[in-house]
Amino acid sequence: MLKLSALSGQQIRSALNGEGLRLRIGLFQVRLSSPIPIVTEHVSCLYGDFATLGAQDFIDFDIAIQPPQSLRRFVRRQALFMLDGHCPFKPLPYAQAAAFFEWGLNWCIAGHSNQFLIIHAAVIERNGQALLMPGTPGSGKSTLCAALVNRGWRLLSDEMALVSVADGRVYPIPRPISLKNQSLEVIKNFADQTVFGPIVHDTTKGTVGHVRPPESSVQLANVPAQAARVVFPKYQAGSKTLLTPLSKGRTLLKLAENSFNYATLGLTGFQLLADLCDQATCNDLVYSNLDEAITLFDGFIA
Amino acid sequence: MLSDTYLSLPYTNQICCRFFGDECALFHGLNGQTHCIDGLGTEIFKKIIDQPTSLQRLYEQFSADFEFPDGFDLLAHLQQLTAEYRQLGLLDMQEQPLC
Repeated sequence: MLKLSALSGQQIRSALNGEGLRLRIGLFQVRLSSPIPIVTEHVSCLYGDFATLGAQDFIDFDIAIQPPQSLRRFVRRQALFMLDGHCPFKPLPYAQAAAFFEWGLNWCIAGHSNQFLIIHAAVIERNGQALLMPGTPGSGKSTLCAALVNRGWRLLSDEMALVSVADGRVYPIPRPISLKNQSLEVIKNFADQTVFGPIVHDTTKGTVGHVRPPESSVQLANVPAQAARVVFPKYQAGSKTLLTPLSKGRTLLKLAENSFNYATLGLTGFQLLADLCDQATCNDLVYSNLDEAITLFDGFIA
Repeated sequence: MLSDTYLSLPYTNQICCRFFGDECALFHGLNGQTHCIDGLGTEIFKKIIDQPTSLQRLYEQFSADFEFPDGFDLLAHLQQLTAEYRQLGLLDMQEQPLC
């Protein structure tokens, strides 16, 4: 399949402005259309390694990011997120249009993909062993995830672990890594070759930027992994790196709390989590130093 | 009249238990709630998941199997735990006269 980076800027712009850009994102097939320049910039910058789809391919999520048909098109401009022609959200400021695509796509997957138990977690992999890092916003999971990916771990997701109902394995959905506020500077300093998309200020989450996922992770987007470890990270300024065991029962409860569709899946969700906890080593992690944390993680698979 | 309390999983057959060492995760299929218990609570469910038993029988078995601090009122503790689990819908309790 043709990669997006094989298209010229003009071709990408034309597709987004016309019939839509068709991309394979993990297991999902997405059509995105948008006349908004920052969306074009975002997609061109961050999705270059993703495969494009043909006009006949099935589309799971048909998304449009558009200005509203009102004065908001011109004054204090806004952007709408549309799925299959419907607007599930209130509009956001025009400058946030690209981030709106990412947040909206998260919502599409979390709300429609009950073939997976979906856990709010970053997932990385090495040697076939997936490591889940669930965490509430601000816990530092995305920052740690971006740093680990920069040091050779495969990115499965920085946002959601897709645990298959069918086989219990974790399926990748490598996408741009979302970083907020100080994390942007931290990762810029940590890995100066990191590619960032447009940075957006004054969102409800503060300043937000996305990091381009590694090409190797995108290429392996159809290769699932077995969950081997669950780590609940917590960034704490000035702290030493401290890994503590977490019991499997408590881990199961915390994973259930961090799941988007645990209640929907009922007993199936419980059994999936129980199996996952059975096979995984479970920890809490407090950290402040990325290099120390990475050394620790590398030791997990040594 | 002398009686004993018989304990069993609810007749609705909606409780799923998974044991992790001294912990037990339980899923209640009717209300969708998940619980995690440990210690003696886990031992209670290990016993009743095989077959219903009585509070008196549990007391006798645990007294034989485990060591407790001096003065620890095991029977009262078991009564308290089982009452809590009953309130959560995790087990059924029935008073029956002693034969």
